[in-house]
Amino acid sequence: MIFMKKKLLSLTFLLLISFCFSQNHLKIIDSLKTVIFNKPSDSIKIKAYGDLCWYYRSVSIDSAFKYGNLALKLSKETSNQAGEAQAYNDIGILHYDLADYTKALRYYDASLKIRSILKDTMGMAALYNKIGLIHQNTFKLDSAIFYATKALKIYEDKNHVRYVAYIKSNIANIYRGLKQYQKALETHLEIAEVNKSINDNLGLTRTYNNIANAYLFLKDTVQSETYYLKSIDLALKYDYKKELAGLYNNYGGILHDMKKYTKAINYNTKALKLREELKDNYGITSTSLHLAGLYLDLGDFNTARNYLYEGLNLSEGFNINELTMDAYDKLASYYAFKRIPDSVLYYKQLFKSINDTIYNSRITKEVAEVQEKYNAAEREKEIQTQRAEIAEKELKLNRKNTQIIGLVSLALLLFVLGYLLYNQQKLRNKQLQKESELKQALIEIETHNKLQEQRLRISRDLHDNIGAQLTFIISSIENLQYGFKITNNKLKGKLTDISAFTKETIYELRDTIWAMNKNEITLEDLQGRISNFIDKANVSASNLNFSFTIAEALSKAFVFTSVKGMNIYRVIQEAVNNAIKYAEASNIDIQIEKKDDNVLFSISDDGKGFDFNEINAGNGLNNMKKRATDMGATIIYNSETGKGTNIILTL
Amino acid sequence: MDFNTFIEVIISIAIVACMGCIIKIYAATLKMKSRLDFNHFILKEKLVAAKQENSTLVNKIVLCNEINSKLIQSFFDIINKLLSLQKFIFEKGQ
Repeated sequence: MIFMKKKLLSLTFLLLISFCFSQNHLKIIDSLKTVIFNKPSDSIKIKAYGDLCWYYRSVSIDSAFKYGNLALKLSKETSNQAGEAQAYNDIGILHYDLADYTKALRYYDASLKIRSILKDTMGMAALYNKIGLIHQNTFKLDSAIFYATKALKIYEDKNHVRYVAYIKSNIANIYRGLKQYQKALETHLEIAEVNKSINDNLGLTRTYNNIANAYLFLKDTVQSETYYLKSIDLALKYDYKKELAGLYNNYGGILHDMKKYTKAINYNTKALKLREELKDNYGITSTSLHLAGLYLDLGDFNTARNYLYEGLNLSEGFNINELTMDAYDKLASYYAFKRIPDSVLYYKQLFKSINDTIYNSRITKEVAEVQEKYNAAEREKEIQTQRAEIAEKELKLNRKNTQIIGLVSLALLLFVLGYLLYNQQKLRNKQLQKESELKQALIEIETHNKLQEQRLRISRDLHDNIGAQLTFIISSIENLQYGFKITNNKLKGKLTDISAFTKETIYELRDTIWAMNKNEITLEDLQGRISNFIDKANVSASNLNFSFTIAEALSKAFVFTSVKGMNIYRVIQEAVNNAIKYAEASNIDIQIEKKDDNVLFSISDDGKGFDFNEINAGNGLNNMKKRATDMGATIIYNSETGKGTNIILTL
Repeated sequence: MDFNTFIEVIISIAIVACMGCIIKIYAATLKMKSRLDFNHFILKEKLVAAKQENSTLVNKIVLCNEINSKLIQSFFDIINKLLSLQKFIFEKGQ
């Protein structure tokens, strides 16, 4: 009964790790080889190698290893991490199939490391599941539950109902391993509902098988038989050969227990046929020994013997100790039926020896595991110490870095401080130099001004003195003229001439002093001065009509420098004097107007005019021209014989 | 207090002191710049006023020179005329 249960467990595990079996594997393999033959990109090649490894798994394990290793090599060469993880995973599965769990675990761990780096959570979950299965197969049920729960959490987070059902199924099987059959049964029943809801027929087939197994362990053979039959129906309907083989084998086991030998032989024979077709060596061995047991119970010793030796050869050939032990036990029974005590003793000894081997092997494994756990704890402790040391070093390094940063910052601040001080000094020197230059210029100009003022004062004294003397001369001459009755006309003329010349000199002096007393001359000042001049001219030439107009557009506050103002006044004075003296005019017109941005001074008369080519330009015309040039103005003489004269000064 | 902490405290104090100095120097520089700019402005204003005065004085000197030359010339002309008159009176008296 114990062997029967073990066989059932092994079979269930095999069922659970088999995904997507197809009859068309060889066709797919050919098409994949064609893909590789066409020299695709490295990533496609890696994928094709991986797929070939997968499909060869059920055809030729050696070829599967070859392509798995090719995928791994190419992935490493091209730094394709995802491909590398997949290759490790595939090779791990191949080792799992060969029940080489140590190597399988090594490859799964390698794949898990890469997938953790790549954060491939789905891939990680699949690996956790497979690692859990290995632990389940090696009866480390606590580890099996640990990994299955990790995988379950990921699938639940991703809401993958189908995978959640698979993992739950595995967990239920672990419960069964822990002899919590009721809990296992409940979980499988729950999973069956899920399988139905998502139409997962393969999952449902396997779940019915698991439920049947659970009922069997609970000794409810009626329910167990019902679920085996349900599962067989589904497997037949959807042609799940591998599952069907297992189911036939399991159902045969129940029938055997129920002593329905013929029916049991029938199902086990079907199972054997399917397993031979599937080249399932473990299954073939197991079913052969199972049939041997049945034939023994039926009393068909020859057939039983054939199956027994066939099973023994296979189990020894594939190094399946459990089944070899079963074969020895059954052979001992066979020879007991045959009443050959030496052979019975021989096989019983072999049975004991292999049993001890398995037991010792397990003990050794468990000791190794304990040692490993101890080493792991030691390593963990060492790692913790190293981590603490690293953390301390890191802390010291951080402190040093902080100090360096502080010192660099201080140096920078000192540099900034120095630069600011230097800049301040530079600025001060520059400003002081500027100030000094300005002060020097100011002193120079002020000295110059004082000198000019002194000159002006002297000149004013001179003018006052000369003015007084000229007034005295005029006064003396006038006294002479009125005090003595001068009858000599020539003498009288000379006196009048001296008096007039002196008066004219005084007028000129006054005009200049007027200009000198002003810092600047406004248009209004100029207007007043010109008006005075016209009045005087009108007295001396009473037959002339004077008119003087200033355009309204011109502001009276229009300002000229004293020199400019004086020059303008002199030009107008000269022009009017010329008109009075030489033009024989009856009207003289003076106009000041604005044209564009210029001020125009126009002096016109209706006298006899002159031809500029025919007359010699005397001092009058030249003086006017010189004054205009001095003040940056232009002067135009418009005159024609008999048509008057017009002089325009443009400023 | 260990050596590292002591160093860190010293560095921190130095940094704070440096920052204080920087702020003070910067403020002093700004103040000095503002004062010097004001002095500069005042001097410039004075210089402009002096130049204007100079320009006025130059104008006056120009006028003065003009009248001086004319005045002296006229003055000599008058003296000549007076001498001519004196000569004429002497000739008539003889």
